[in-house]
Amino acid sequence: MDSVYVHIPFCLAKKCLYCDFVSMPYSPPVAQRYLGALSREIALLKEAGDFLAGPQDKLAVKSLFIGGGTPTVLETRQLEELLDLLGKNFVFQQGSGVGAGAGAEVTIEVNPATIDTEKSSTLLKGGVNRISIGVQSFSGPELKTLGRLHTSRDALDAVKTVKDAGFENISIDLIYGIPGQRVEDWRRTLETALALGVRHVSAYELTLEEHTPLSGLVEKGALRMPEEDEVVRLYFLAEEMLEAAGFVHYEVSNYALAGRESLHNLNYWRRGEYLGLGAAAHSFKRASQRFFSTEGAPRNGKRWKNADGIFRYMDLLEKDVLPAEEIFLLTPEEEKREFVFLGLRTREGISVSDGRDLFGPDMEKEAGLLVKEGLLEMSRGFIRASRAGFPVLDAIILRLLAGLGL
Amino acid sequence: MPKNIRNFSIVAHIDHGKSTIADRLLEFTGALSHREMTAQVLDSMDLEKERGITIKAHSVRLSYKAQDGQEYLLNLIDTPGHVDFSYEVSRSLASCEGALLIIDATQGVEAQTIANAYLAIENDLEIVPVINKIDLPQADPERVIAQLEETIPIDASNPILASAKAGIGIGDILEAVVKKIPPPKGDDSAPLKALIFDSWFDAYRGVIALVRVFDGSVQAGMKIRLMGAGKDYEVGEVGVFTPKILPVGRLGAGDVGYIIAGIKDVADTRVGDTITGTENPASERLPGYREARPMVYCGLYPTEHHQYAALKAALEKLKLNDASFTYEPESSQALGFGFRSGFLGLLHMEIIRERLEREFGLTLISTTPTVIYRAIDDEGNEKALIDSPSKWDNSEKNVQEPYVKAVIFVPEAYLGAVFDLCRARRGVQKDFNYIGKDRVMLTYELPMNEILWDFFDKLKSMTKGYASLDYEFIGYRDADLVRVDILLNSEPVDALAIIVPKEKAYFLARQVVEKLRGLIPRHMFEVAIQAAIGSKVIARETVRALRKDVTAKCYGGDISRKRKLLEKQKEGKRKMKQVGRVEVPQEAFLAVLQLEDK
Repeated sequence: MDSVYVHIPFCLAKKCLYCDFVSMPYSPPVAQRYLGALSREIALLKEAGDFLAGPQDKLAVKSLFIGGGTPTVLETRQLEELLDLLGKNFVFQQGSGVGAGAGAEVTIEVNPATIDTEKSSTLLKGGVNRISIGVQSFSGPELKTLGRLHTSRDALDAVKTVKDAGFENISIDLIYGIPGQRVEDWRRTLETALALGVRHVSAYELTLEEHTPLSGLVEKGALRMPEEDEVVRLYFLAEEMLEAAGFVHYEVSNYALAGRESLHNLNYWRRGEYLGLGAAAHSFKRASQRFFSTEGAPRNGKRWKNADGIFRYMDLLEKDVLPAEEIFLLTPEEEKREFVFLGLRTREGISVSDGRDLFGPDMEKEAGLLVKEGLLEMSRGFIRASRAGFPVLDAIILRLLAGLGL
Repeated sequence: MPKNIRNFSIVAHIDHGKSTIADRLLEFTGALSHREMTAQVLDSMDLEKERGITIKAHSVRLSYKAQDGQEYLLNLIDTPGHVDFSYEVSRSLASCEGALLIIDATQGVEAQTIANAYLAIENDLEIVPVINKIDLPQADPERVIAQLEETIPIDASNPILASAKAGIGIGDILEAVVKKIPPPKGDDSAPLKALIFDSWFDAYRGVIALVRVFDGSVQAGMKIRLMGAGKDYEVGEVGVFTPKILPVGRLGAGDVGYIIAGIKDVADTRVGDTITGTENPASERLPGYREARPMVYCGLYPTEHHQYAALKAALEKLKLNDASFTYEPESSQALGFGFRSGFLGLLHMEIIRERLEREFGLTLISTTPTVIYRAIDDEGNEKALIDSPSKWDNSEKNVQEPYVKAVIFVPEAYLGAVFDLCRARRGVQKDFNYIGKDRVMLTYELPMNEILWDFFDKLKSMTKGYASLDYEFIGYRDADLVRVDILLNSEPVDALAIIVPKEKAYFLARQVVEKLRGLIPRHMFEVAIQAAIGSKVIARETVRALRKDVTAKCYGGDISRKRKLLEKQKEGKRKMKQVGRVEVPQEAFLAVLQLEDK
């Protein structure tokens, strides 16, 4: 297992208007019960012996990500308990305790309105070495449109707080394509972000998810999503400004200074294994190697998702039932499709030799057509999206897969 | 001659309750128990149930003990309920001595009420008016009676008042069938004459022909001849539907039932043909036979080339069951290999297409439907039939197009709108009559290509659903038409070409390209859409290049969501046809059917 994801499905009083992830308003007793369920989930997985079998009965992983929801909405005491639980069960190559080993990446998502000096030092002590702050925007009106419960000031303070506490590897999330957002607004948000000296920026295009309040407002006509040309301009502005500041555009929506790429995220695109803990968490286990496969081990890659409902998740675990519900066995075709559509999301791209193994000469032939159109590039043994290709990657993938008979 | 047989049909305007009445008669006579009744038993095809219309004819034999104490055999012949199948309707009616004319007590007389009543009168049928849905609060039987007396030359003073839904008047209907409809005439000992009013192919038993025996009799072992097809067969079985299939010893004069005779091809048992005995044949056929001619043509193409053979096999199979549609191979530069297919009408086309997709798992592109045009030489003789825009030549001087006579019923309040619609569709008003105080029966002559597609929908929507329509083909008239080609990125797409009146060419071309702009998805390059007559471009639109299309994030490793999205996109792509580098969705080929009137 390469990575572990832990979902903390609690938020401040209300959800952001664009969010369709599983979460509920923070309730101290429910959160307490939830921590118990997480502990139980790990214990059951250990008993099953499927994943958690490593030195000292700890699972060695390369990255751990605590996401949400808003993990830092937990009280300090609960954060300590969570980190203690993880430290007891996961190990990062050598040493003990979360993040003790070199090269390990332990990230927690932080909402600007929920972080203070005390929590920061708890996180640091608990082994967290990377902070991802959900800034989204430095414009007051935009934050309001998104339904964020913090101000631009809160975000600036949050960065300072975690820096002062000793964190050096800081990432911020930004959103563009917000109704009403002008090019100047986005430029100012990016300038502010760069001035903070962060090492990593995620710049996500605002996506309208069904059944969210935001999509309702757009349907009603109360808000208008920006035109495509506008969004493309914002996309390229981010690329231009961040690259000028030394950031590498290493994935569709992610930028990092050299060596600060998120290992945890890259693991998803590289089809590394990951274990998701908590309600609605996703996991992936690769197909077992043919020669070493033992009786009953899966022949197919397997993706699964834990129970969506927070209470259902807890109820199941309290009855000693593992909460994996949506289990999906990948066929060889699906494995191939994933190889293409996940790999191409990164600047690194997909390896020509791996492509040859999977598709024979077809991959180079089909990719070659898209290279001619300037949408893909092929060099140093890799196929990747070009600068012009990244913003239309989904269409490229669809064509490439169709060309490959998938 | 069996005095205790009655052969009758039920005719009505659509939705006036024909099938529900039939169901009630089956239930009342005990042909089916209540438990066995699924709504609208006679409509057995899934498609029929879904669309609430009858596509094929059926017959059911009911046993009924009348108030006079005698046992009667009532043969109920259910008829198709759409103008596309009016010939089949006429043959079903020719098999009867009487018809129940059902009129909705809340809707009153409609266009098909009259058209069907006249069909029945032409076939010398005794008409029994039944006013249905009398239990509804808006029911107005007095008004219906007045309308009937004004429009149809029958005695409508004493109709049966019924409600199929509430089970009112069903016994009265059965009594009227026995008392008012005459028993069949005919001579049991004369040479066999049986009229085919429907036939279909059964995978186990071959063709099953539904017939009405007029003279003579038929039984297993007898040699028969299909007079139109000129083929002889030996009868394997005769019987009736109760509605379950029930073999009987013989079918005599006046009987209605089925014949199975090892026939492999429904084309041999054309509706309207006469069956006689090989050894003692009748001297002439029963009157009224004509070959069903397709009126509407379109190209059917698989979206994926490799389905061509499967499409061919599927068409062959369907043809086994439906002699009235035709197909021949055709190729299109844009769409590759497919079939030019002919249908009785647009509904017939939709049904065949839907069956091909549903029952055979094909994904098809059907091109813009077209009527058949005629090229005429200087002497006025037919030179060629043009069933496809690709066979059209803009330099052809004398061309004719098919016309229909349309009867439209419309409340007075909407007359203006209907006049405008008919004028926009090149209609010529031939008659105007008030039916009662506030309804008008209009008669128009219109080019068929103006009414086949959206005319009825338009008519309905502009009259809040109150107008009704019936039409029949009346012949060919001179036409002033032109072919407009559609080009995508300067390449003509033959399958998108349309034939339109010259005077409307610019106006319609403008609309077609606008429609296409909305339907053709954005590509990674710009797509120019042009409409042209010959080399002259008369309209142009552009589908701008796609600039942003990428999933922002896959949160927390949720790859499944991305996978599902890809599958959805792939499915959407599968339904499109690649024309050059441009993906064209099915709807684009039908865009021309949804244009606005001037």
